[in-house]
Amino acid sequence: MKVLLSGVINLKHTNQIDVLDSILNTLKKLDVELSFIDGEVMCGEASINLGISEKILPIFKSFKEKVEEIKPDVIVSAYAAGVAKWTRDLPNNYGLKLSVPYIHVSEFFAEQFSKKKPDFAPFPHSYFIQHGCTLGRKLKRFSAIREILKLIPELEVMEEDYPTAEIEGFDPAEFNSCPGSWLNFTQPDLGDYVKENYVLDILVPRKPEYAGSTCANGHFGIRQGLEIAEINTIKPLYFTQLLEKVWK
Amino acid sequence: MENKEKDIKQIHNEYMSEIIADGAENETLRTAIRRAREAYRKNLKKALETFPESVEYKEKARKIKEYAIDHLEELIEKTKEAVERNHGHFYLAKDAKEANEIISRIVGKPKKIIVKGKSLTTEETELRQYLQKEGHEVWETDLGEFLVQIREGRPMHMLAPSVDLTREEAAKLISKITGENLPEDKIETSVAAVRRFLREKFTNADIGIAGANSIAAETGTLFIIENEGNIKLTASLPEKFIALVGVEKIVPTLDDAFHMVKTTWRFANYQVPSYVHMISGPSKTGDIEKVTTYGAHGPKEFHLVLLDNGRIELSKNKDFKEILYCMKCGACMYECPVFWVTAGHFGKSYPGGIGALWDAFIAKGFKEGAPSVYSCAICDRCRVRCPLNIDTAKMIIKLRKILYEKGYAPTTVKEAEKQFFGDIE
Ligand code: SF4
Ligand code: SF4
Repeated sequence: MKVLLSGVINLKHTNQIDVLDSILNTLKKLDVELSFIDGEVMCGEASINLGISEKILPIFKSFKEKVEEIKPDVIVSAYAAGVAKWTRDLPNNYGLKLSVPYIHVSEFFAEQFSKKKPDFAPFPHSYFIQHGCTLGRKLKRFSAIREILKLIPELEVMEEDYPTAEIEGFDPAEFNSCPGSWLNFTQPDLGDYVKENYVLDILVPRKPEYAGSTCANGHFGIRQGLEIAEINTIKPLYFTQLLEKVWK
Repeated sequence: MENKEKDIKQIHNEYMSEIIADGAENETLRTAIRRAREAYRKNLKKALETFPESVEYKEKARKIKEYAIDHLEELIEKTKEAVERNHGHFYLAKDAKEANEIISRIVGKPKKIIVKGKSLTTEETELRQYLQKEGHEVWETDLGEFLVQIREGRPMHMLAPSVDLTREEAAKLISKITGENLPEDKIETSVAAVRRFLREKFTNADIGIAGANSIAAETGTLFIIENEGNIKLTASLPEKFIALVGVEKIVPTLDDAFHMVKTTWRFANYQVPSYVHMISGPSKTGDIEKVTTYGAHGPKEFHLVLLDNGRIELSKNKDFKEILYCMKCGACMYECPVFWVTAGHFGKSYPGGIGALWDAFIAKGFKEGAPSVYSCAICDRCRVRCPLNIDTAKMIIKLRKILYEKGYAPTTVKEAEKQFFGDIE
């Protein structure tokens, strides 16, 4: 299977090389053929969120052309922004459609694991997962990461609860707090306080040993928040890094 | 061009200094908001468990607002007819200045004592400050708003204007104005001191002013929710009662208006508020010879000043008319990650992400409103919490596009653009 990994540049920009490496290593374990787009630029929701979408429409068009040249079976990304962009905004608002599915990397793993159960070693630790705002709340895609984490023996999975979610008919993850990563691009100074507060208010009281977000953008916010708050009892761990630890 | 850029830069810088220094850097504020959020969630849970049907209110409330905003001008006309039929006085102010001038004429001269209920619309027009400048003695009578007045600040939340204050800070502030030395750990003694202080103002007041939570066009009836009892006194003791209300609060029928207030209070986290007032006109009696005579025990005059200030135009804007659905219940703010660290410093006249939109389109304009529009983390959490499912993040994103084109984006956006996309031009 030919898998195109998108969003590599964003991981590099944010200096999350460790996350990138873990995604590459775990994808390789699935025996897939990996491909990339040379000179890929950040093309996710950033453009929209910053308010400059139309101006960079040519970049999206060129992405589509490159995808057509590479002809992957699937495009995966650790960023939910790209998923939202290519499944919702670009087809609906600009008639730009890709001929192959663009899914989140967690969804790709969940799908592959459902076909062939991986052999995971026990991991007797607690792991807090934040459902990224776009993948979770906006696209309501919560199940893939839950299915993956369920496969790891002895892992204690922690999620943020919300007291009225059940009464109101919501998945509690729809209320997941936000580490404020998007503020990096608009009000970074303010963003630092939001990230710090996320850590102090949401993570610290729950005392997980590890924490991560499904979305690499949210994950970056959590990492920065842990640094700003100077918390070293909780380690940031992207789910593919967790997979690397347990996958025999 | 250069001047324009300098201006907007200055606006962004000033806003950032305030939001960081007075908001994000203030540890006490964060503690106060955390406590308020936990109390909000606990109370909402209790309210929804006791009245589970409330969950269904949301959809109906949204439908009522959709209809009302699409028929706004027609409903304003109906309200006018009803208010005048009820022997009230009706005014439609095109902007904040006109609203204040109308109210100033109703208040009259010489110096009057005015008691006022909490109202975001009066914040929008800066009515208290306007009347004070004219020489009148004006008192905010909602406890939270009274605290805002005495510390010369601005409301930090739609329903809880002093949500950023701890009990200790409140006691200190109240002690200053009443001349007492109130214990800092006892909320009751602070509340009792304000009650004593304002009681005299209520009995001597010439004018009462308040806002309203909804208006029924068919009868011209104002619905006002409150817990403290200050509106009860404001709306009944003085000779004249003036309501300043945004036109978007009008809904077609009495049932609709009641549904809106019911939804507002339930998601503002009350099981049941202590008072819901329905006011349709001046106080009257027909007890002597069946002759209707005005000004029995309550106000002799009832004045409804409706404020447009861009709302009518906004109601015709398909991309942004949802802004007007907001019932100002304040629920979204308790779940906003930016509000958690800044309280009402996120926003100007109106707080929070929805407030940023209100500021931009209604209260402050695009230029002055721009910095708060860029302070939203577009996490979409407010939409999930909002009983009307208002998509604030989506509108913020759309507005950013307009602001970007107008040159009102902060320099960070330009930098990010360059970093991600290079020189697209
Ligand atoms: S979308 Fe903006 S206003 Fe809404 S909760 Fe998130 S940060 Fe706050
Ligand atoms: S946006 Fe919704 S939750 Fe927020 S104040 Fe308005 S009605 Fe209430």
